[in-house]
Amino acid sequence: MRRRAWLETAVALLALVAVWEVIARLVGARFPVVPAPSEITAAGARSAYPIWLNLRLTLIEALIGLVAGSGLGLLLAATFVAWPRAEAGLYNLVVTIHSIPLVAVAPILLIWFGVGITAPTLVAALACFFPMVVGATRGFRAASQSSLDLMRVLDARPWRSFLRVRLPASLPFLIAALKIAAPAAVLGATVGEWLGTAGIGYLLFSSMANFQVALLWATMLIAAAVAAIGYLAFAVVEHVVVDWHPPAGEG
Amino acid sequence: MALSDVSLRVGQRELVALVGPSGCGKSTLLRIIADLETATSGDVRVHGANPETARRQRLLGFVFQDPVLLPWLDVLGNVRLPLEVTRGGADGHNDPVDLLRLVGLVGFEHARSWQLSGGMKQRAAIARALVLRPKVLLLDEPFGSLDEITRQRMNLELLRIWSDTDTTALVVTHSISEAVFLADRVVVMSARPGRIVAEEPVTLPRPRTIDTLASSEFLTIVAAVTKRLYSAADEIV
Repeated sequence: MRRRAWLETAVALLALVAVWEVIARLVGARFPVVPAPSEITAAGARSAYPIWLNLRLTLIEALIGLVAGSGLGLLLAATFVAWPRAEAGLYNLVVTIHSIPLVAVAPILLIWFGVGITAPTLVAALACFFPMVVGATRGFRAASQSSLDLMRVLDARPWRSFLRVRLPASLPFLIAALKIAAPAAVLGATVGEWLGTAGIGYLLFSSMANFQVALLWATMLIAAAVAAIGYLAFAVVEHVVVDWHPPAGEG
Repeated sequence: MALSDVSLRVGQRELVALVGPSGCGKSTLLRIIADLETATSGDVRVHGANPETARRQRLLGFVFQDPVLLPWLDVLGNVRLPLEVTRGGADGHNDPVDLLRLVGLVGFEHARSWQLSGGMKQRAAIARALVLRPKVLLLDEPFGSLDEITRQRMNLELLRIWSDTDTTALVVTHSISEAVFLADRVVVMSARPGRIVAEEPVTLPRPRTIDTLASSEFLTIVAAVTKRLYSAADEIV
C-alpha cells in the first residue's frame, strides 16, 4: 500500500515534469521566464561547482542555526516548565519575536554583524527557536499525571524521573518540532544570505539580478530539496525512535 | 473539605475494601495514605511512620485505575522500572521475572502495552507495584475499567497474589460484590462530606472461589453492605 503510494507520487511528478517540458518548449520562445526542466537541469549541471560551494555555506549556517535555535528553545521550554511564572512573563515576548518577519530581521542583523556567516546563522536560529519553544513546552508537560504520581510513590529522584518519564513522553513533541525547524533553518539561512555575498540566498538573488532564469530555478529547486531532506531526516528519526505506537492498520 | 471524621485501622496482612459512591473521597483517602495528597488535619500512620516517611521507605505499592504502563518500555521494563528509578540499596526486592510468573504474564516479557489487553496491563501494573516488596498495597479501583468477566477473573488473581505475598492491602472500589468477595472487612463510605458510615466484617472462608459468589453467606453480606450504603445515602438525599 505504502509502496504503491510512493509509486503513484513518482508517476504524477514525472507526468508533471513532462507536461511542463512540452509547454515550456511550445511557448518558451515568447515567454522565457519559465524555463523547461531540461534547461534547468542543464543550468544546474553547468554551475554545479558554484552551487555546491554556496550550498555548503548555507548548510553550515542552517545546521548551526538549527542546533543553536532549538537548543535555546529547549532551554527556555525547560525553564517554562520548571518555573511557570517565567512562562506567564515571557511567552508573549516569545510570540512577539516570532511575529517579526524574518526578512525584516535579516537586514538589521546584517547592519549589526556585517556580511558573513553570523547574520544568516542567527536568522536560521531564530526560525528554529519558536517551534522548539512551543513543542518542548508541550512535550515536557506530556507525561500523564498518573505516571508522575507513580514516580512520586516510588520516591524516584527528580533527575531519574525526568530521564525515565518526562523525556521519553516529550520525544514525539521534540521530534515534531525538529521536523518543522529543519526546513525553517534552511529557509532562515537563505533569507539571511539574501543581502550577503555568498550562499544559496545570495545565488538566488544574483541569478535574479543577472536574469539567469534557469539557474534561479535550479538553485530554488536545490534549496527546496535540501529543506525537504531536513524534514525527512527527522521523519525517519521519528519512525525509529517513537516506536511505541501500533503499526498502522493494527491496534 | 473532601473528607471528615475518617478513622480507620488496617491490621497487618489484612485486606480491607473501601466502598462508596463517587465523590465520597475513597480515592482521596488512598492518595493521602500514599502521600500523593496531604491531609489538612488528622494523622495517618503506616507501620508507625507518617505517609511521607513510609513513601520514602517504600513501604507502599500503588496500583492506579489506569495501569500507567510506560508505552516506550516493554512489560519487563515496566515491571523493572521501580528498581531503576529508586536509589540503589533498597533492602531486598522481588525478581521481576518471578513476578511476571506470579501475575501470569510469562511469555509477554517483551510485549508493549498496546499489544496487551486491559486485564494484562493491570497484571503488569500489579507486578510493578510488588517489585520493591511493599508492606502495604494500595489499589485504587484497579479493575474499574475492565469488563465484568475479566474483572471477576482478576479478582481471583488478586486474591491469589495477595495470599502468595506478605502484604496488607487496601482496595478502593465502587462495586459492593467485589468488595465483599475480596476483603476481610468492608468499609462503607458516604459522600458530602466523605466519611466512614459503617464497617462490615466479611466472615467468608478463604480461599474464595467462583463458588463463593453463589453462597448464601456471600449474598447475605452483600445485602448487608448494600443496606448500609443506601441508608447512609438516604440521610443526605
